[in-house]
Amino acid sequence: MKGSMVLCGVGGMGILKASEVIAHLVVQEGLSVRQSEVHGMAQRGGSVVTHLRYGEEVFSPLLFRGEADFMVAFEELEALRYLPYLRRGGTVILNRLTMCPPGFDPSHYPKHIPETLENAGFTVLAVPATDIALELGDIRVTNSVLLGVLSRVFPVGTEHSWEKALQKAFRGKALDLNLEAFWRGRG
Amino acid sequence: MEKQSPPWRVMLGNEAFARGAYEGGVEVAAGYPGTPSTEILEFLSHYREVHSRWCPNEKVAFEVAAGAAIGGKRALTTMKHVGLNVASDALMTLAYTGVNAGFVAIVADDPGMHSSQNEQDTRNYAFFAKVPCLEPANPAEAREFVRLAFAISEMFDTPVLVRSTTRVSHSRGVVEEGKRESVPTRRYEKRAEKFVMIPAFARERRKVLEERLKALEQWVEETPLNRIELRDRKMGIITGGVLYEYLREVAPEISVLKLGVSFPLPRRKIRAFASEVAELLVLEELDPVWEREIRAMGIPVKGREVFPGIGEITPDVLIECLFPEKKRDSVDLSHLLIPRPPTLCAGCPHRGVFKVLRDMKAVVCGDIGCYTLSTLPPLSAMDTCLCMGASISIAEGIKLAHPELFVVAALGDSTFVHAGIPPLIDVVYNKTPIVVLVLDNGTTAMTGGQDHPATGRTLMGEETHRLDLAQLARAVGVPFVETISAYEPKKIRGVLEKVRELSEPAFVLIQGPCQLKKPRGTVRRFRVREDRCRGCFVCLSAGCPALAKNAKTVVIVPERCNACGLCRELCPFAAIEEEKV
Repeated sequence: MKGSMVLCGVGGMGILKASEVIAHLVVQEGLSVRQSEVHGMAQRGGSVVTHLRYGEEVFSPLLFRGEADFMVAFEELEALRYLPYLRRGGTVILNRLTMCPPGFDPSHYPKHIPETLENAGFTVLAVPATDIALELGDIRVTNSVLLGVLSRVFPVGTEHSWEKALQKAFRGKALDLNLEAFWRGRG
Repeated sequence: MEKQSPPWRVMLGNEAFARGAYEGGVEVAAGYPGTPSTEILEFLSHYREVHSRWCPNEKVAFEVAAGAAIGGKRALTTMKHVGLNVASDALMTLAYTGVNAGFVAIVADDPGMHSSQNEQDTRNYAFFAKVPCLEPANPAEAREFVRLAFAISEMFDTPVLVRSTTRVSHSRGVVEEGKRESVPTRRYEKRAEKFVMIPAFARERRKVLEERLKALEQWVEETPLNRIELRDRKMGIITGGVLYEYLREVAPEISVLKLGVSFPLPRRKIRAFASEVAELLVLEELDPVWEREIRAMGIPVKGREVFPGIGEITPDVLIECLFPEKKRDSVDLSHLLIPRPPTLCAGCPHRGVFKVLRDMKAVVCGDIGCYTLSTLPPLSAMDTCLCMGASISIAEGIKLAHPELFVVAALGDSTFVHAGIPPLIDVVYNKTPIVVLVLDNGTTAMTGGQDHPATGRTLMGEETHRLDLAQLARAVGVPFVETISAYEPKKIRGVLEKVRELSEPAFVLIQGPCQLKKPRGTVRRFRVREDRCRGCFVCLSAGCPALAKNAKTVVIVPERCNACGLCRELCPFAAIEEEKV
């Protein structure tokens, strides 16, 4: 068993927390994990990416081009930006959210990103995770909705182990809401 | 029977460094925030047995920790690579005095400059100061090496450097946890010949330093931290740090000498390894530190001719260097992309003042902090940014070169406390008529919001005396001192127009809270009145990410807006107003 994924979006969307949950999950299943993330200047509304690799024995915390089995994209443009890390035919969990970078004309924002990805041979699971999170009352649970969607196709972990991983990352009221968001995503 | 494994967790490298220090019996830890090192002390502050503190700068932190070690308690200091420049004065001579209890400095380099103003290789400082340097490859080693570093420090009576890099500090991995060592406080006794570096004593300690180095050179041959892994003999690579991790994936068949100790080098082990392999390479990030040494030993080795000396060496870069014929298959749709650079946050208190400075065509000498984000369009405000505190002194120099220019120094509250006070004293002493703007957002924002002497709180969460920056400016003798809200650009402009005409130094404190530290849930809301907006887009020139063009007018994107009201202040037609909620 060996695999990897790339998570991407815009600073402040809960991407680091989502990677942390996945790291807990794979380790619970007896695998090792290496993950790398971005702190500091890049987080100020800029593009954010984390790499996650797991297996019996993992060394590098950084992905190779064309390696990742999965991508969890919190924003559509960012899915395109980190596409080179995804292997041909890989799966994209895509949040239906477009955020035009400040200072750019929205008419330059690429159109029909889900279709573009499908036409390039990727499997796309597109979900309005931010809308669902807002419906649940807190935009911050967007990440758990996306984790729910990922859990439908991710080869590691049972429902129970996903719940346990979420319990490690969240506490109290936040945990309840994140579990609810996870189940909405899992469907 | 199955062996009971010790408890393990997935940890960030910086959390593992903290864990290692905790288990190693550290009692005093001091540092200054700096990416990628910041979280080490933040994690350590959760262990109540350790006294952890933020200091005004790295030199102070280094010396507090050194003092604690001289006093007899194990001590740690943490900083980013450029922080060691500030603390290097202390390092160079602490190498002479030695320590008493263990003293470890964790210094985090940033190859590729993800969040730094330069790339520098901390291993050079180990060679320079003649102190041992350990280099972990992953979070598990981060914990283990720091723990060991304390023992090494005491064994050889020397400060020990631990070099991290971004990919060690900011990557996660599985780490086994151990128990905290109980280390009794060592006796303190007055030993002037060891700790007072007057020339007569320093000459003696200089010899001790050389003897210690000889002992360390013996030890590095035996320590398992330097490890030969013989596989295919066609090629052997000497490497260390996170590059070892990449190499194991890129070329698992190649023989490796993994150096866990960057300095001093295990010369016998290197010779032995070189004799086992047909071709020898050295793989190191940033400077060819080891390559130079190995060449000087007369061993044929390739380094820079194969691997780049600029920027980060990623797994992809490594493949390109070792196996240029191997091509990875991937899909690239980058022709569709538009960039998404980091920006000042919506509601950031720095935005208004830089808009005013640019409008006034001021020469803006900037400093290290989020406000360097005002350099790029649309604000395009900054002229210089060199290193911590340099805004003020560089501004003085430019004013000397061109007295007719309106020269302003702009720096944050934390940066001012770090290295801005001596240059402010120079401004007064030498009567340089420049304006010093301290952008006070009440935190060390760029590194994620750490406390400092002007916030009135310590790292351990205690209330403390809050340094009054305006009072400090008056105390050092600045003739003109004023405090203004960051959200009143007209008032800021008025004050700056006034001080421009003065022929004396001025200090202006601009206050507004960092939006990342502000409690969530704002009660204010702003909107654009379409009947009044004439589409002049003056408001957009401040680059707020919550404002967008909508055909002929401007709109406020409600979920991005932090309701600072700056756009209302900038609008010439009163088209932006606060909504009644």
